Amino acid sequence: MSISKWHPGKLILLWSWGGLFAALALTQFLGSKVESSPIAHLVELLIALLILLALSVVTWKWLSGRESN
Amino acid sequence: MTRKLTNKPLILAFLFFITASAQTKPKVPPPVPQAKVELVTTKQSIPKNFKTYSLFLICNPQWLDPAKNAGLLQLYHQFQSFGRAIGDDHAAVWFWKSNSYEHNDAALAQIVDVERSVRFCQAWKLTPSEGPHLVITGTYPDESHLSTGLPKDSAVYKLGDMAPPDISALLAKLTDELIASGKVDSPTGPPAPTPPARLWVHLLAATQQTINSFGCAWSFKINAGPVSADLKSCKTS
Repeated sequence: MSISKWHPGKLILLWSWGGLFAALALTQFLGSKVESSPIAHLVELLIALLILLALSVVTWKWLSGRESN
Repeated sequence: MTRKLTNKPLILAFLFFITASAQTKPKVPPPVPQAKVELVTTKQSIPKNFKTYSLFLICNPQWLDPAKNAGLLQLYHQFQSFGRAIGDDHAAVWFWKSNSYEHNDAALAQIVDVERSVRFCQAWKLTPSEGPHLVITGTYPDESHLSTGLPKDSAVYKLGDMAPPDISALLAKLTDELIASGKVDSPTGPPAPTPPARLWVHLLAATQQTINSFGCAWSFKINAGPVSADLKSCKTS
């Protein structure tokens, strides 16, 4: 994935949407007991973790080598 | 012509007699199944054409103790009343060896056909010590095919640990169900043991618990002079 021009606003946008979906998934995960539906809970937790992981990777990649002035 | 008119009343009377005799001919009533069935010999088979069959099975050797005769007689009377109350479409079956049960209760235990009950208990995997058992089934209990096991539409009631009033109450409840719906609900025993959860489920539950406890650990306070706010993550009761 490449970005034509780096801008902190794009990262803020990505993290906002990503954080929202991760929070929703985490809320679903925490909302009921695991024993009621273990598979669904596993999927919800994985979605939350994967979103945060993907955003971290993207941020790390875009920000690598850039030094603040 | 005169002779013909004279014979007319005679002919009419003969025809009337023939018609009347044909109408008063006794009809054979269709066989009506009896509600209460008491099998007194081992040769008698359980009658067919009933909606349900309630079998009283005594496989517990404790009930054959002569000291239990009074209790056994009471049990029989309760079951007898049950058999009368459930109506003509339902059979109540008690296995006897002889028909002297009403006159000689001292030997009551000896004339219970335990061997026949044991065959049912073995085939249907009923624990004798939990008996006597009351098995209500909608399928004809064919003694020649007992190896097929307990029919699916059966309900088994263990009366071993029940007091006579409890048994009476149970039989009354079963009577209501049989009369109302023609079948009985399966007895509600202890809940089936849940299968042990797998390791990953335990880990997932632990993760959930950890996140929950972590989420409840923080609180946020704002104290700006006249305005103060206290934000807590979890509502504690």
